[in-house]
Amino acid sequence: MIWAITLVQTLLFIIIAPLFTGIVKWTKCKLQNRNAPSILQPYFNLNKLFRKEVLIATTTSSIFKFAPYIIFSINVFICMTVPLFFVSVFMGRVIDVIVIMGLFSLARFFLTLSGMDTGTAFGGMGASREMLISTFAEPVLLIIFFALSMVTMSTNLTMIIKYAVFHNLWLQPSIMLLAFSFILVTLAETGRVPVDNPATHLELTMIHEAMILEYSGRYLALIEWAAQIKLLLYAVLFFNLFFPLGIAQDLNWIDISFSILILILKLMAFIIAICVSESGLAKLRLFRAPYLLNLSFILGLFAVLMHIIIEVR
Amino acid sequence: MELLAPFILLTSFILLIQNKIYSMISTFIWQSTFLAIVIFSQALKTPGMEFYISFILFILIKIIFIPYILYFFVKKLNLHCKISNLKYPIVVLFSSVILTLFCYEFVAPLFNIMPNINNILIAMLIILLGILLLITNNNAVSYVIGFLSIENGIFFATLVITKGMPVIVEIGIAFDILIAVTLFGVLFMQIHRSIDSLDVNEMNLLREDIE
Repeated sequence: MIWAITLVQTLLFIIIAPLFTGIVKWTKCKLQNRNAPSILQPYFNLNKLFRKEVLIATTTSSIFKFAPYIIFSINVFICMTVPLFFVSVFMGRVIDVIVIMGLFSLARFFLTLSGMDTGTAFGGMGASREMLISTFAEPVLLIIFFALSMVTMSTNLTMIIKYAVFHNLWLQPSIMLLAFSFILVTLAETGRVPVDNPATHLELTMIHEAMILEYSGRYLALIEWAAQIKLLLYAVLFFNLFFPLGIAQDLNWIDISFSILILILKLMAFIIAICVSESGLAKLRLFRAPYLLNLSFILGLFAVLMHIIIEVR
Repeated sequence: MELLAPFILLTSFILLIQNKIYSMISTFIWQSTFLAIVIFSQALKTPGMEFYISFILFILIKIIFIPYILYFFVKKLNLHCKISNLKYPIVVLFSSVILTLFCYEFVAPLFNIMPNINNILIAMLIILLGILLLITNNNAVSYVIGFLSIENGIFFATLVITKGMPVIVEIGIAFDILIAVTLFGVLFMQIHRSIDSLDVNEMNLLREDIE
């Protein structure tokens, strides 16, 4: 039965992700008093891109061609391992948070590789910037997961969530600090505003867009879809790790529908928070971005210390 | 108290890396607000009016009066666009984490003997971080904020250790702080008039015997 639930969850992840990005864009436009595109616009974009012909630069090697498939399939694979509305997943026993982090960095590795493969200045620049950001972001993610596993005594996602629900974990100060730290990392890793601007193609500021500048057609569609899935994955990871209130633990219709309802509310709250912060904040200078991530590293370290000082007795 | 103590400490950490005076003052307001909530929770737990009196005094002085006076001076002396010359805020933050570890090592042997030693540890850390703030900044306004955050730490320590002081002592301390801040204000004006800045390093210019 669990494999069926996992399949449904994975499909939901893949199908909802463009809608999620669409709602983010719509809310952001409404907040800034602009005319908003339809929330289904990312689907139309993907549809258009899948039909268009593919242009490939003559200087590229085969990595350029198969990188989008690898990136997309890695993201889909991570979807299979992250609980969405039901607490257990099919592969939960063998894959823990550290493996999930490793998979994310594997996807990023291929993305930067494909960025450099074209040999243009933009690709290399975007790749080096992405690596700069991730150099600072990955230790933070690791320390967050270490702190979580210190508190819950497990690195397994399912176990962490069950422990958190059972002990009302989100009321502990160390978990609150970790949640704040995780938000900062999420903004950096998914390329949102204080670090990267997803809406611009201005050459001095772009990070993610610079790497995929040479892609077109279905390759571009796959990479954009993967980025949208990544945003949704981080949002779901945030809520399921730090506020897993209402997630279904038993297989019955009432629990699951309640869980889905709660999840929708949580994601709406996430969207509103992200849009307000993006409308209020300006993009950081590139060399200020490490400060932001260092701050979140310190918060994670601080959470570990607080856990040792206050909660372990 | 268990829930809010880390947040008071967190505001101390944030005070260390703020580089604008306005945001420093507002962070100080946050710290005082968290402390006020701690006092209020103690007041709910204990019978008698003493904690309520100290709660009202604390709000009047630490959250309303002192920030108002600081804002007033910052506005009057045109300091609101001054950015402190803290070069490596991250180094300061890491040193504060090391300070935390030091305090923990210092207190760790007592963990089995005393109850709520962890809150005493946090109070100690707030005081030490206030001193670190005094060391790392060279702006007179941030000196005052560092001094006040040390005072907040001591206040928190009294709350934790003795379950509150007698009301008369608290009123005395409150007026002491009131007068101290007023005097600080007068000093600001004097320093600003003589060296045209509040950067303490520039006070060396007043010495005559430098060859």
